[in-house]
Amino acid sequence: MPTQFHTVFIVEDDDLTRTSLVRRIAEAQAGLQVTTAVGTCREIRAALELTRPAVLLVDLGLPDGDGLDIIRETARRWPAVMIMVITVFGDELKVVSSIKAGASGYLLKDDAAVGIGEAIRQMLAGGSPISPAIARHLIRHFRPDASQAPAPSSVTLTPREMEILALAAKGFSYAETAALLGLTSSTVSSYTKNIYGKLAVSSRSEAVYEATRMGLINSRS
Amino acid sequence: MQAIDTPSARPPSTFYWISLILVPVVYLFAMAIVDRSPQIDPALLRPTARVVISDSEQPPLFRRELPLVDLVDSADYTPVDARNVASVWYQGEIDLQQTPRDLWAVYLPFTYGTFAVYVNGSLVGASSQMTPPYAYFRTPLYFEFSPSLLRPGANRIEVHQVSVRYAAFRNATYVGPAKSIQPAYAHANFLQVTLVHAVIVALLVMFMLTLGLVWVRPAETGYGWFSGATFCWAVYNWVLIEPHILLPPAGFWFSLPPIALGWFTICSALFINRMPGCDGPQPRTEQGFLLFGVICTLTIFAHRLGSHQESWVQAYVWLPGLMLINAYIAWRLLRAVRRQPVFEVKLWLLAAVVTLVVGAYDYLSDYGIVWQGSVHYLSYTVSLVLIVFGLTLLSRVTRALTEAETLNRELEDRVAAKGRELEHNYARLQSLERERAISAERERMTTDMHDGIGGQLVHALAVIEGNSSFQPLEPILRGALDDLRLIIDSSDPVEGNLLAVLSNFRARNERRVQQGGLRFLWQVTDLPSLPDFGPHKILQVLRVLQEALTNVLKHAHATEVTVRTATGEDASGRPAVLVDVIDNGRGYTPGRESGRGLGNMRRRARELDGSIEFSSCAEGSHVRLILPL
Repeated sequence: MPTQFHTVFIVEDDDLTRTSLVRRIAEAQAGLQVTTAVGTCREIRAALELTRPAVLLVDLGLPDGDGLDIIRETARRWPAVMIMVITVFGDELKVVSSIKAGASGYLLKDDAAVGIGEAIRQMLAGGSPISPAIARHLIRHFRPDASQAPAPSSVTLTPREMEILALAAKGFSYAETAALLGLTSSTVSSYTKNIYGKLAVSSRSEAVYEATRMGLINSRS
Repeated sequence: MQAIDTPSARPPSTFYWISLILVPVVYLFAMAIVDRSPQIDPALLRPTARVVISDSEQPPLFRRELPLVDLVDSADYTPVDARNVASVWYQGEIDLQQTPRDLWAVYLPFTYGTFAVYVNGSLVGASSQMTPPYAYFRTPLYFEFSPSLLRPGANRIEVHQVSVRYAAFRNATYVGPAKSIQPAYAHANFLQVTLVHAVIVALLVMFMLTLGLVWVRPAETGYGWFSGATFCWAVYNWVLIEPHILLPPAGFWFSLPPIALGWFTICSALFINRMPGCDGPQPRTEQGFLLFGVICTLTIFAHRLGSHQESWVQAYVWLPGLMLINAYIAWRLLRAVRRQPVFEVKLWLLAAVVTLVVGAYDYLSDYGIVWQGSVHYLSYTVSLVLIVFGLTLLSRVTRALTEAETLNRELEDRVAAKGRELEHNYARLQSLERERAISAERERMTTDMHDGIGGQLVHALAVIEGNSSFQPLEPILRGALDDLRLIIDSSDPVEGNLLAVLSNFRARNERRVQQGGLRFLWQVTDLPSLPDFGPHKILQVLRVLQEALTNVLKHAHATEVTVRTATGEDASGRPAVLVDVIDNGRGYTPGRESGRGLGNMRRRARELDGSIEFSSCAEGSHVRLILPL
């Protein structure tokens, strides 16, 4: 029984799903304590202004705004808060845009208590989950085609990080990847988290680059 | 045109400088050897004659009382009349024992002016009309005549020469049987007439070619000047051997040789200046040359049309001026060779030196200082030089054309390569665009499912969560959610990458397998790209695998499930990708596999244009999906 509890905030608009998540997190017995569970952007913003949790779980489609904005604001203002996006499908599009906004993991809404507990614990231990589709997306992102314009950001992955992504894209689990590369599972997991961080940084600099470019075009016209 | 090539950029070797001296000497020897005509029996030479100055058109009175004069090939000044015409009769005699039977001939190897020959008072031949205006030319003359004109005893041989110049050449004369003299004449005629005609034709062809080049490419002014030089030299040679005045008035015709010679020199200077490897045009100097040329030409023409005498301008301004221009050419070439020794410029300098040496030799031989041949060598030398120049120029043009062709080909290759690249880029762009469209569509679809069906399914699961009477609904709802995930995953554009589909499948099922108490063994390899592997096919593959995995989880009582890939062949021998789902459970009895959806799996495999194999034993069961490449 863990002695120290990590606080968890949830923003999820579907009441029953939210309640179910709260229950499953409690069931997971992972040393997690849901202290705030709300259904709107406004409420979660208010809660975050008062106090910061260890973990923030965010649903993207909220009635009064976009969960991505919550992720972005939180990541900028309180980088210590670990953010996870709650999705039904764990699909690459939503997860990747959340990671770009500053999330470092994702949860499946219908996952069992064990799965949810494990995912949050892994993140608190400094790791992140990955799916093959996300890995493929990241490979594409960080290894742009030579004929394309040079990447505006100087953020690149190390060979080891690329290796890990390549294995993840082929469907190997962290344990298998770790065995293949002579690492531990948690090391591989933390490599992933680091890669997510680089994705967020590179997408921020891309945004800056994009804005500058458009500014230049505007100033010329 | 500039610096298309520099075949030899090395400084000229000592060998080159030595050859500059040696080549002209060797050349002169060669000319002299060619010039040696077949020997004529010296007995046939009539070395002396009586010289009678008379403008009679018929043989004048034969004057045996006059002294015999040596007829060496030398100029002697003969008085001219008011028309500037010197008319001289050479009276000679030969004594014969009897009338010969063979054809006889009179041969004058070296003439200047217009000649007629009489034997015993009968005209046997004339170089051209014996009436004014008289042409001024230089060819060997040879007239055959019937032996019936001869008789035993003394026979009169009379040669009438009219010359428009103040100087008349006294010519050695051969008289004798034609067969003894003809070979020598044939040789001299070949050298002095036939060859010169051939050279003139060659020069005119060269002139036309280079002129055509300038016409096509007006920027090649150097070729234009070369063309001019060639033409002037052709005119010069032509007038010298042409026994008729083709372009009257006579004054104009007689002025042509010095004028043509002068313009030949000026054109050469301008041409040399414009050749690659030389130092380029010198506008001031060249304008000076041209002005000098125009003024002297007009002066000489004007003078000659009004006078029978040569203009002093020609003797004291024009010819010395041309010599200076010649020196200028040699200086420019020497500079060019020292600075940037291109092969052609080196060749030209050599040619210029040969021309200078031969010109000097001709000059000296005219004054009897060195051995005099039957002809002036300079005429042939310059022609040769011009033809060599012309050929190097044409070879330069062909080289440039070849180079252009090569460049064109390279350019075409490059354009083709660029075209391919563009095509490739376009195809890539198209595929990116398609991908983007699919991705946008997929995003729309997932968003719809996410916010709609997905959310509702999760909501429904939450509703039944605490209520045991709804428990049977749970697997149905989860199945629906799984199916939705399958559909979303199948719309992931994987570009024929089956491994991507399999890895998605694994990620989706990892937790389920673990919850079923099994180990998921993942034995995959990189696979060749599957053709035409769109969302529909992907979905079929996912459903087959899902079905196989569900069978393992439900029925096999296994502890491990292995997914393995390989490449191999299908039943008909086509290359194929093999996907195995293997468990270590207790297997099933063939024929009693109802409820395992094997029929469904077979149907899906057929839709994939592939096949599926099932096998089972006590150690487990094995499903193999075979997808042809």
